[in-house]
Amino acid sequence: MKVLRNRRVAVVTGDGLVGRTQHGLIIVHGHPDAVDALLTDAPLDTAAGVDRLRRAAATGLPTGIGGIVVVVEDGDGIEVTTAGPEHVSVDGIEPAPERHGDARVRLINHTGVIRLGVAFGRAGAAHDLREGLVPGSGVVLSAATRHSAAPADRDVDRGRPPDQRARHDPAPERAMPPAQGLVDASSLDVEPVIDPDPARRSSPVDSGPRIDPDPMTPVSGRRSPTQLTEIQPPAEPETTQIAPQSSRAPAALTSGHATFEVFDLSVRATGLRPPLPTATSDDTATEATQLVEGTLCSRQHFNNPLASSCQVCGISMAHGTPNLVERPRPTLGFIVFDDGTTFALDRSYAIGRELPEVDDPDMTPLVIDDPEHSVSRRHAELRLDGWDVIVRDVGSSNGTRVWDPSTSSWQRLETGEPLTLRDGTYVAVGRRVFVYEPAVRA
Amino acid sequence: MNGIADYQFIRLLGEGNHGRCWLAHPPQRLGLRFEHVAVKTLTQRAGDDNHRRLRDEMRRYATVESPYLAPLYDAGRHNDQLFYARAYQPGGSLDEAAADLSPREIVHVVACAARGAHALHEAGISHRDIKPQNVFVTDDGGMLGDLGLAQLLNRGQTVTGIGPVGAVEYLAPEAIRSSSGSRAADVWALGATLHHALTGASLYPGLVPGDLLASLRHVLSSRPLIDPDLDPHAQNIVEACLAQDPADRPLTAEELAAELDALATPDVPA
Repeated sequence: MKVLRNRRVAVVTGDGLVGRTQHGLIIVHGHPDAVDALLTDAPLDTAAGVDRLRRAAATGLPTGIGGIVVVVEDGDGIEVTTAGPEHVSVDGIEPAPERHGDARVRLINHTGVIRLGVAFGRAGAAHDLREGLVPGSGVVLSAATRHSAAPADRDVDRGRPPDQRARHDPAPERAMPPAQGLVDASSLDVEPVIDPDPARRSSPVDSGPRIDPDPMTPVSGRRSPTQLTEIQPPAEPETTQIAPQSSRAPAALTSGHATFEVFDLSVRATGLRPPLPTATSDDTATEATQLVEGTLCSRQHFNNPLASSCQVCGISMAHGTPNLVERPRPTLGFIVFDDGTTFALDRSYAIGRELPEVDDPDMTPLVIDDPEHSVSRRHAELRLDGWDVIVRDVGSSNGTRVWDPSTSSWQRLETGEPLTLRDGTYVAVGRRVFVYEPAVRA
Repeated sequence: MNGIADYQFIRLLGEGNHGRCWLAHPPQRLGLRFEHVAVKTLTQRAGDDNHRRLRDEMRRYATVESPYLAPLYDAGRHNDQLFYARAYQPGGSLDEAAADLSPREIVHVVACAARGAHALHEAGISHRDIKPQNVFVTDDGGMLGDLGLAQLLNRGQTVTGIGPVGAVEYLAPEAIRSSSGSRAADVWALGATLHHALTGASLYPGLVPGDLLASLRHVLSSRPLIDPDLDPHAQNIVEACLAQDPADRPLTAEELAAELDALATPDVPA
């Protein structure tokens, strides 16, 4: 059984250890001697050792271990066990386990991105760890795409015997087509495969660029519009180095391989745009085009009928009976988050952590940066309706709250309960707060 | 961080709203004959959508031919991080020029940047982040660089929230409330850039550092204050760029550039 089949394991830098063998994946942080002793007692390269680690995480850690995450996999799911006095973060699993407690989560057919960490840094994840033990404080698990599928994983699918898999044979077993020059120009919308050629990945010395040094020369005369090029970058010693604690390393030490791709800039972007229009008095409309009834100021700017002054030119809108006209809706204002990020209310938003999958084409994803993990993957939505901005909780774990100035307290919204925002309404999404600023004050 | 992709960083040049800028050696594959490039690494993670949007925007930018736009050499992603490489400008920017510039030279630099902006506008691209830091000083004038990508990578976002509060003065009022960039919003930013480079003064002296919301409210409820000591002809141009109604500003950046040329030419009476 290959653990975390079809998963990419990107290691987040840090001063713990991250290890992966065919039996399991661990992240451990603590005093180096304690970590060393633990891994000696429960070596990663045996199923029994990994099981011991898992039980240690579930029942009690040795002194000196700050935090541990053990991930094992069987036929239809993976199991994540976390423990430690230190902060252990599990991000991407819902419902999220206790942040500071010990937890065991079983995931069946989970395909999303999972971030696991001990003393989790915010540094970018580097490399794809296939097997071995490397310095690190966390991992980002994602479905192995064709961009990053490990050759060893492919081998599993092809039924290689397990004893061979474990050795991470560097020799390519089959010829993979090189990425460059082989993408047919007619397949415009298809992202070309990033070359997972095992020979390249394993090549220990050659770190030079692997594409034509002169970008103006077409590769084999068949440069494709969507061609991406993989290049093996210079070695990154700080992440490929084997940890000092690894003198008694439990498994073959093979660090992953970082890939990057460059966009061919000589290619014309699809969908060339016409020149931008010049400003007129009538271009306040947003791209999303619900028609609404409003009034025109004396300079013909379209406004909310309740506005006392024009949202474009500021001119007074005080007059008798307004003449209502129907036009595309202008922006309704903006929201400002507690960190100052500001979003225009010229569209509706699906709010969440990570990149929420938005089914509704009218909704723009609004991704909240939330190191505290208080925001759910799909948390709330802000929907424009006529001249109103309506907030709803969409079933978040931590809820969506609205500040009630009359009681000086946060009122939690029921899931699905709509609330129309008023000037200056504060809304808490998990622990992140934003305030609504209408385009015009009535 | 000491490199990305096959770039080796030499030093950090600066930190911006949505990324960092590094001095780097260009990799051989680019076939560049000079020693340095500027590499921008973006903080925004490269989801597939962002990756595609950045790629398309960079390709669009790369096809715009203008001597007033900083050349773009390369763009891509390394693991989850997006990056691009453009020409390194040893002359610095209007924010931090390597040499002292006369007012006339400053006007000329801004005129060049306006022509760069116009070239983008004609190609359907709004810059969205024109400010002194992004207007480069070259041997014979100026150049516009570093497209605003915040909007691209976080659709709907208008203010990134990081960075000095003074940065809001380059944002046209309508650009705070509406995320679709425009010629008029870039023209505002060019006017505000000119004002800052000539006077060093803020258009909104009342801004509260550390309180972005109060600053945005202030910007939206007051008019910018143009330095009364500024040359009257320059004042007129700045004032036109900062008109509340976008339709009252110079309609194109090219039109603004022509006015700036007149201002920078000594023989033309003001």
